[in-house]
Amino acid sequence: MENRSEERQLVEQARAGDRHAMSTLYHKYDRRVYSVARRLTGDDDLAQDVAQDAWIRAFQKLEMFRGDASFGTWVYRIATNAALNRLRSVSRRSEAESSADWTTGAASIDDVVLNQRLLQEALDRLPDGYRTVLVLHDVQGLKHDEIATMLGVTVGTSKSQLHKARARMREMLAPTTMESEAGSDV
Amino acid sequence: MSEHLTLERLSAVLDEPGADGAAVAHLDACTACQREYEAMSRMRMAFSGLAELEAPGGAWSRIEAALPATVQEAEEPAVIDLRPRRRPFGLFGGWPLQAAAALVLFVGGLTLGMRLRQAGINENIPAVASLQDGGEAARQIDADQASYQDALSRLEQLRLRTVSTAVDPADDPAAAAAQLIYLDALVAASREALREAPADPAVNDFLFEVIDERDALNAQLSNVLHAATAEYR
Repeated sequence: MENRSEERQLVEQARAGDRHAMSTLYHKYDRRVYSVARRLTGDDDLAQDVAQDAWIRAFQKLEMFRGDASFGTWVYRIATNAALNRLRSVSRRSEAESSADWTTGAASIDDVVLNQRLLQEALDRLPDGYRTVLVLHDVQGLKHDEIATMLGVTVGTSKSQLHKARARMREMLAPTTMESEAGSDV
Repeated sequence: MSEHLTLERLSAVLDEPGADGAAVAHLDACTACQREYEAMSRMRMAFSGLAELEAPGGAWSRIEAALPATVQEAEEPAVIDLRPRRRPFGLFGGWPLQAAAALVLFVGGLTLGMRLRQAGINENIPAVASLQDGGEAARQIDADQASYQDALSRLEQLRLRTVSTAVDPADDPAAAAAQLIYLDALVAASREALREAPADPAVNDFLFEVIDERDALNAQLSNVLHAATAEYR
């Protein structure tokens, strides 16, 4: 699949029920879709359900794909919305029961930032609300106004949640350089 | 300037340095906060560079099986396990159980229809041997079609029931929460039905309609509860 026109052709074939075209589209973007589902939900089983629902929905609603963006972007948005909706349904992890005492055990942030497994584990331990905003902003690169619209919150709330999420992550990943000192505002 | 910036404030400066002059001035003079600022910056970069995750194997075959348009072979009449798995259906007024039962009937009708269609093209299937008489076969086809139509009608009743009992979470959050549980049970029952008849378009459409309705209601309810909590504070 070298360019958009080839992809559009695949989409047209998929619309006509061509399973090979669907399979090609799926295998082109399956990692992307699963990744967003997994990172937003923080749970393997939920992520598999979300990704599967997203793909089925995408193929069933192909007539709604207008081609303004790539198919990958379209299905990725479907997966993002599906994950957010699922999180609202399950309310899996509240702030109270999350990551308060957990740390990676690393001595410094430099020991962690290149370790994707530890980063993912720390992400999973964030409260759902924090993780959602952090993943949407820092991992997926969405802007606060987009996040606010998706979550039905204000831009200010989105920013506030992000900063709290980063602070929590920073504490989990490694001791802060100011840990033994006062930590209040200027 | 004896006190350091909080991690949350450092995070804000990272994104919008121009919005907090006092914090930037502090950063210029405090090496501890500078180190923490750089650490948080590296952390943010690490998140943006996270690699994509490998999707579990076998996912495509499950997705393909659930897509309509391909007739799946049904080896046995559909029997759905109605034992509650995630939620006790019977606790909420009986409707979820009725919904599950209707879906069982639906899939039962569907499966009979599929068996008969197979019988028409495959003489090795035992069902064909018992349908020697043309008139009997025609009557059996009529009966199975009626069963399928009846099941479709039950599905439609379920769909209408969810619409007719829709509640506004702002008016009655408790009723909305109960409706949410009902819709969740319908989703679970629909998924069970799809395991038996993954290619059936009616069940697929029903599942996604129920999911859409459940998610919309859930979002409304979350907003109402969020607003109520904010007001309380």
